[in-house]
Amino acid sequence: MISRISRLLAVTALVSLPLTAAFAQTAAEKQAVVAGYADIAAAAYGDALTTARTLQQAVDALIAKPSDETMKAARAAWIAARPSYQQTEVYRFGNKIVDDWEGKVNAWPLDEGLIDYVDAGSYGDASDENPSRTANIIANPKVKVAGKTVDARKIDAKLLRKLHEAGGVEANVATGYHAIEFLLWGQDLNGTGPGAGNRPWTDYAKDGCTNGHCDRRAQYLKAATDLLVSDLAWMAKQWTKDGKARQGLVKGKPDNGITTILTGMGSLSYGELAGERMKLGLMLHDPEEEHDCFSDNTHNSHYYDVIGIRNVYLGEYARADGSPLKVASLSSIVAKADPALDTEMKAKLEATVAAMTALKQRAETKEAYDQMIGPNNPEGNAVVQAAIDTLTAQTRTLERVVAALKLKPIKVEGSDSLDDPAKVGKK
Amino acid sequence: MAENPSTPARRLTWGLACAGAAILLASAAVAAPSDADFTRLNQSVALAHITPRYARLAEATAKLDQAGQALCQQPDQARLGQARAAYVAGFAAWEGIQHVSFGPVELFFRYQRTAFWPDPRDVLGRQLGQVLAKADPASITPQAFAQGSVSVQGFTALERLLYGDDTLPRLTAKDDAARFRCAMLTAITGNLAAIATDTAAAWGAQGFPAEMARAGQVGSRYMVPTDATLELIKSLHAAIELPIDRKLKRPLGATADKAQPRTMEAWRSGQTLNAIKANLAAAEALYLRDGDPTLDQLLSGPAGRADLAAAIRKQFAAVQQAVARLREPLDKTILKPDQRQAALRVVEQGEKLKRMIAEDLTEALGVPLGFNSLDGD
Repeated sequence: MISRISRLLAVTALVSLPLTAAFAQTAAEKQAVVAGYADIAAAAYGDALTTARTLQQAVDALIAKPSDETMKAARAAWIAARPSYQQTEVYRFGNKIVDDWEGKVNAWPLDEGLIDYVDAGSYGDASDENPSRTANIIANPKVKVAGKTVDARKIDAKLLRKLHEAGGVEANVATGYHAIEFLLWGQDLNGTGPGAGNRPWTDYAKDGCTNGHCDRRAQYLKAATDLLVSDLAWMAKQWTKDGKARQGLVKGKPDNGITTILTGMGSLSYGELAGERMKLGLMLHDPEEEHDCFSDNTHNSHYYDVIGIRNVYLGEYARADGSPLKVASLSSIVAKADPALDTEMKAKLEATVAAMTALKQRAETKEAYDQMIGPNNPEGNAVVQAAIDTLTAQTRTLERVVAALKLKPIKVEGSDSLDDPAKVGKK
Repeated sequence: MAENPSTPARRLTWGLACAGAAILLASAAVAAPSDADFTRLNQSVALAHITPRYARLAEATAKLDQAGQALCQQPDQARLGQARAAYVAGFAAWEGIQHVSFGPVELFFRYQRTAFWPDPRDVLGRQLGQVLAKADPASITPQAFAQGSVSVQGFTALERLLYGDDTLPRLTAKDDAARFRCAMLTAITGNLAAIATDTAAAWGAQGFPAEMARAGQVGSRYMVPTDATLELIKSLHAAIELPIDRKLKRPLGATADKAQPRTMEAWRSGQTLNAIKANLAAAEALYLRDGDPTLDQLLSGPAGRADLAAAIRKQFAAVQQAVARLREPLDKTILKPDQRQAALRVVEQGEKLKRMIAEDLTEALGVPLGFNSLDGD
């Protein structure tokens, strides 16, 4: 009891001091940083939307006139759509509105047998964990998912929404970038050897259809791509002037906004990218643990994740059209509190970008990411491990930033639908 | 003016003096524990909590290795029973230290090689199937384990070999498949014992506990003593998060029809509940009993938060009380409404405890929790 009263006194003493000009200035500066963070989000989600619309046109062209060229163009458009989106991933953790939505557009990894045909030998049958993993929506007008028979005669947005994460199984991914990726590339059957997925364009052919159900496959691709565009349009809107995501941040306490920025940076750096997406694959030497496993584009996904992390610290973003965006930076706030720490933070972010650049270059010139994580490849393994190490090191510095800015402990979760135990068990 | 103690002037003076005392008190109470306090905590908790638990794991896995070898020399029901008992004991020792993922166990993927879990995508099932199908002796050598996939070489892989369908016939058949199966089984028990022996040695008094005591000195991996304390607090947090969030909440699902009991830990060997209890017992020991000072004492004393310390102790008791109502085999019992409710109650109480550690304890000690490896999903 005594301690509580003393604490109260101490706090009272603090707030009863006249607000100095410096103090007010800091709050205003933090507000500007939070607003700038929202500006980058608006630009990056806007770019993700623009590049997804280009993908949509390419997919429409593929479906209208299936050919080797239109297939290649659609794949190129998918790859071109990824950098903008990956740079938004730093907004996922900390912003509940993004985290709740994210599964629809970038869910990974997926049991692709839910969607289309797979190679029976390497893929295997239904597992304990996911009985729907071979449901094959494209081949079946009726599919059994999570114990229920679903009418799949018409493949449209409504059906895909219904089947996405059906039965509460996260691997039942029916929508998003990676579902589209699978429909454009097919399974990568090369294991940790060279080569990506090699789906023939004739999987969409009107005459001479390969692997059956080309019309339904086209319906699926169209529905999934249209959904991606509408989902991205929704999220881009949330970050515009009156958008919910922006308003929630700029109207809140400036310190909470700063905490949100750091939560996104740290959670993506460590638990998600270094851990779930990289270390896990490395220690399992498993090509299935590759983020963009059909297209072999993982190096770019990882690279643009770390660019996104750097963006929100430096307050700088290079738009998809090449134009620069510069906003008030978190870096300047940290520099004011502890100049050496800001220098350290910037050095750590650059070290990660450098390690990830090396990984990207290796992928572009020597071997794909799934080969790098293969067994008996110490050199490739080391390149991946180096990026994991720099991500881990930058997380430690981020923790020091949290301490230096005297922010409230960062809540380490909030990504689960089960977060409120009171809701659990209610149907 | 009369010198009367009750005059307004005297009162005012008394009031001022009192306020002065309160301010002094306040500054003493909000002052965080000193570096020396943190250093004593770091070293004593390492020696009292971590070192003996790794020693126990090394002993238990050595016995498990003996039992595995005995089983494979002459597979029969009795020896299978002994191997399973040794497995249960070894796994219990692991569950008592599963919450510690920093230090020597981080090297060479020792942590994940000891037990690959959680595994929501059943990578183990797929990779174990591949290794058994190929039956290549070169795939189960110590060298191959050191460089190969972590999933097929620890407790979770061994559990499938000891508790799968037709375990005994698959070991006793006089064919290549049976011989390879047994070779793999003993390769895993030997691997577990070797990793545990190395890790326990690295946690000897002159090893990592000394490193933690050196935190903040030149050449230490920890810049300040609280960086080492943060490792302990993260371990405490993990000892609650692992059982509550990963082992209970996720398998329970948002609603009864979304429950996924197959994603629980150790259901094949019927050790799901024992593992949860072992984690929570470790959490309580780490908070309350192990160290001089313990985290509890640091909080009550130098940090001046006896109130919070008492609240955390009370919450530990509430969690234990809730857990006492659960029944093995958990993967089956939670499908019944009353046991599901009981499990949800554990989750509710456990999450409350977790928040007290993550938010209140860290704030009171001035050691923000930061980020943890379970952040991703």
